[in-house]
Amino acid sequence: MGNSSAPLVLGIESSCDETGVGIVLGRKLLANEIASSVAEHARFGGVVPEVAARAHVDAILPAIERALATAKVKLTDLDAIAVTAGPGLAGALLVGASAANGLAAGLGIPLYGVNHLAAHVAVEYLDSDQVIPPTIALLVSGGHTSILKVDEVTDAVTVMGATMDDAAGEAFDKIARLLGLPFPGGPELDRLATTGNLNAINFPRAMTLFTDEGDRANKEFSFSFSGLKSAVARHIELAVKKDGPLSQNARADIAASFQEAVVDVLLSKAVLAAKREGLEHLLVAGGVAANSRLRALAIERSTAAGLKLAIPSPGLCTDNGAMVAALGSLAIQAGRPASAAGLAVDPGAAVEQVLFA
Amino acid sequence: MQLFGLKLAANFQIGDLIILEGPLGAGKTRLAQSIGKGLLVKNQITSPTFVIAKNYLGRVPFIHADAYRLLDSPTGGLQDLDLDIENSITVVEWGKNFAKQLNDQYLLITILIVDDSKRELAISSVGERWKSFNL
Amino acid sequence: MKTSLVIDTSTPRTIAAIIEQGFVTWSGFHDGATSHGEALGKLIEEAKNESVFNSIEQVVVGMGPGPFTGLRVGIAFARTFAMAREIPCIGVVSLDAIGGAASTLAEMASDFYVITDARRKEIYWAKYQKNGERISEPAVAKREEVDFESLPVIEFGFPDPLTLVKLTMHSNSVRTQPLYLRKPDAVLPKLAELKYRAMTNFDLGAVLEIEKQLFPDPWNLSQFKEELAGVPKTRSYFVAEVAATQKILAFAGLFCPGGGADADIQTISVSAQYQGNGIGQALLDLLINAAIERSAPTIFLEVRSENEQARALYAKNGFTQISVRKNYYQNVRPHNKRSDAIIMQKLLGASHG
Repeated sequence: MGNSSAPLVLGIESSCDETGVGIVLGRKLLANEIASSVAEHARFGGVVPEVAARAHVDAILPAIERALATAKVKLTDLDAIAVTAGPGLAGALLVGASAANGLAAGLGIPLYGVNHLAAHVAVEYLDSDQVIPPTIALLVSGGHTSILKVDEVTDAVTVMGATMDDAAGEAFDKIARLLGLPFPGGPELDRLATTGNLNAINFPRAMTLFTDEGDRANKEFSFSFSGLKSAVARHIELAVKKDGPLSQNARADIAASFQEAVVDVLLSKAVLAAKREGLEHLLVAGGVAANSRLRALAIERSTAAGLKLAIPSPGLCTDNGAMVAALGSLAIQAGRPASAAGLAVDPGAAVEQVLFA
Repeated sequence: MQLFGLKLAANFQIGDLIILEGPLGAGKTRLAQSIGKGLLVKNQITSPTFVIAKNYLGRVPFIHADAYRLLDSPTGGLQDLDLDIENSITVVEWGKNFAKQLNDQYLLITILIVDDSKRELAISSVGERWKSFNL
Repeated sequence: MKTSLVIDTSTPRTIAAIIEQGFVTWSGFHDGATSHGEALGKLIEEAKNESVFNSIEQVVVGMGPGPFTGLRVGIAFARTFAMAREIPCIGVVSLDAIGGAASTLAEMASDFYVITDARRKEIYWAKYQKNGERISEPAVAKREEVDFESLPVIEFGFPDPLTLVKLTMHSNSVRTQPLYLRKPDAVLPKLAELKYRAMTNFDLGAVLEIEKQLFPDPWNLSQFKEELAGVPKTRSYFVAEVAATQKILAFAGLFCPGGGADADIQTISVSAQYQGNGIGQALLDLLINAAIERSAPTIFLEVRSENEQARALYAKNGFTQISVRKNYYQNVRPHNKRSDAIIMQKLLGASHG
């Protein structure tokens, strides 16, 4: 149906918790199905991660069917299949890759194994015809926190810095638990924080002060959130010891102050990276990019720094199939080769490996 | 703590299972990082909370897992990940309830927070392999 | 017999074949317990060279038993390939394709066992008649726990592709779900250590989630807040939470104004996926104790007539049925039918007045 300048691509995302299927035509988004909304029964109401990946095996077919129906296309119309080949949880990746392989082999069309992190960046370029400029990408999710230099999203991506311990999204979830918030922790904390005072407590901003140039050179774009996590945990413990169970206000203040500490560090380093590389464009992506405070402060800081900011809509920030299809489509349009038969998944893939041979 | 992790690593062998327990912020990941360093893993070892398990290669294969997200899981567990623990050294944070799924024998290290800068370690074990283990 | 693409990844060997009219037109395999994904891809690439590749009429895939890692590769591939070609995908018991092949090739003289490696010193096993018919359900166990009755044991076998296709005609061998077997007394994590404590307003977020999950006519936030406002004068409310993570799994409440008045259980609600673990009993104990502490002579409750589990729990704890309120509870399905409420009571030994 499509052609190499506007290929019709089906993308499968299955690197951790979500099973997502997306369909794009060139850079136009046609469908984006997340299996958790399709196979609720397999997920215990979304409260716990179905790490056994059994749900992935059962969820994938219904998700494919739903995506085709929404996009109003048939499998035989597709030009290519794209699938996340890494990084992620080995078992989950294997299911996605095997399913993608089956589709590609059955249809006789090429398969593109793509990088999960690069896909988060690629999703921003859907529904736009603009030439894609070199960009600094701040990628923040439950499993990843990195600053990427993206010269060309299908081919030239490098890591400028990443977390040395916890990912930001993970810190959100753990602090949310400590504050007694229900699942999902991140969005709940976001909500609670809106009623709190973000200056109430000055939690530590790690890796922002350096004692010598050598240290700075190594770590200025790196992150560390485990110290912040410990500081908040300690603060809560002491407060409860002193005054008993926390009041709603106290919780909101802790939430807001913690969130501020995270968001402040994320954006300071991202903006600095852009300045350092002489780039005008800043992209913020990944599950945590759905956070309201991160979005608001990103606008503030990028405007102040004279940078052009791009953030996908919240629905496209979390893991999804559309981003995989998008990267596949961009790869085809750039003339990149498809993956060879015998595509191997790589749970520890570095972001530099955008496409898998 | 760093030194302790390095010392431990020098005494671990393939097939070993080590469980790390302790409250949030106690330093389980930090200890796992030292163990990894002691095993000569070059890559940065980061928290596996979200992805449950990560594989590294040091002087031997090293698996760093985190059962935090499985603590509430009524079904399923680490055994479903088919981790190659027989051929690796495996460290599992929050893994006490899951140890038996992986190995009948394991070393259990519990980290207690004394204060902001002090930690106390309690060490116990299950199985013949660990009976004579000491540093 | 339909022209079939056969796939099996239940053993360390990845197997693929094309069967036409009872003969193997093409087959290939690759040994490697952790590389089923790449191996299957490469094998299928070879299969594409066969002209019959474009006229495959069905996909047959081995459903195990086998380690999950490998099994899911074959099954996920088979299902989507079949979807792409709009042909059926039929799953069969992989072990039967070893047993069936053995009996065809070797003229077995008696019943026999087939075993395959399940790692960690365990095996998958099943018993077969000499004609290859399986006569026990596939199971997993430690090798020394299985009594082979001095019968022949086939070990080191692999599923035979032609047999896998033949098995599609035997209903006993056809499966729609993969066989990820676990030992009966499986070492599933014991329910994490729980803590029971008084409910506070901050628990209400989690409490409401559970309420909505369980009831078609759930209480709302203000109703719960009102209940908690009565604590401790006229109400006692408890939650059960996972000690390590403070995740709330269940809650319960009691109306008990004291001064010799009767007590009334307002609710005992255990999140659906945690039921059957004794949490309801523990909460009930707390409520009964609270009632006793406040000298209530009797404790009442209402329960849906079709809630067998709850009624059994209460009966076990000394509650007896005293009356029925017809059409009391709203239902989600069927929408037009309402449920009866059974009123039960337990005498607590303190006297009236």
